[in-house]
Amino acid sequence: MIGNDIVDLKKAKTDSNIFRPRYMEKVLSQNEQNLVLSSPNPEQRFWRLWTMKESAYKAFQRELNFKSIFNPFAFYCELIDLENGLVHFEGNSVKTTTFNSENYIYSSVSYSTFTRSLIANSMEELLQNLRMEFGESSQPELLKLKNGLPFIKIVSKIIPVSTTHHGLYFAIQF
Amino acid sequence: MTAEAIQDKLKVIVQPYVNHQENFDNLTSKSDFINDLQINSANLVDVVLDVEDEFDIRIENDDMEKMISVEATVNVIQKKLKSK
Repeated sequence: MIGNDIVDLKKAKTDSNIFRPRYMEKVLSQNEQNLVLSSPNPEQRFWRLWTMKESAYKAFQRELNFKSIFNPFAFYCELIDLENGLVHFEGNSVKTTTFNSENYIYSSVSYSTFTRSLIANSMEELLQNLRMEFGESSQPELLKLKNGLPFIKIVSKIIPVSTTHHGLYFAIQF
Repeated sequence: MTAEAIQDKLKVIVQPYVNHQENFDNLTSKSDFINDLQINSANLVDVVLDVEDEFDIRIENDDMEKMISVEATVNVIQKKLKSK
């Protein structure tokens, strides 16, 4: 399973006010709200939960093939340690791994240990890094299937990927 | 309130969160918030809250999950206004 999400913390600060009345209760359960409010850095904690939910949503949408919905509340997060967590959705669960830096928060579904993630500052740079990763001489192409799911075409290989972009950051999981 | 009147109000609400001006100028009932208007998913929460304030309604999660296009959102608002 693949699914990832990145949040540019600087952009998130200017674009969203997570402390706006009723904002958190729309997307977080009471337990999750407590996890945010009891954290020494509530904003980082909020965006960690948010990126976990978004990556799980992408992974489940691919797996269960449902049409787009907007219901972060339906994805329930459990934190295991600073990096690892679990997201539950309608009786299914996935493991997630979160990477926290000063500037961004990146989560991806870690269902299989064989997936990798790359992060860059532009789509071009990301594809360039991907080309090197595969040791190929021609540039990979990012394409979308009819159902909107992205994949990479590199030489004759077709690889399903999950992509995310926010502010200054672009990431891909494959 | 007619669907057209609701859609006009909704257009004003989503404007600050839109990242694709051309698609916003050509907004129709079929416009999709994320793919067409390129509204960031975190700002979809703001759209829901602004809708609640503007129409003085409360939207539960089952209804919120449908609010990914203009048409679906207008339908949710209309349903809520009728049951007020």
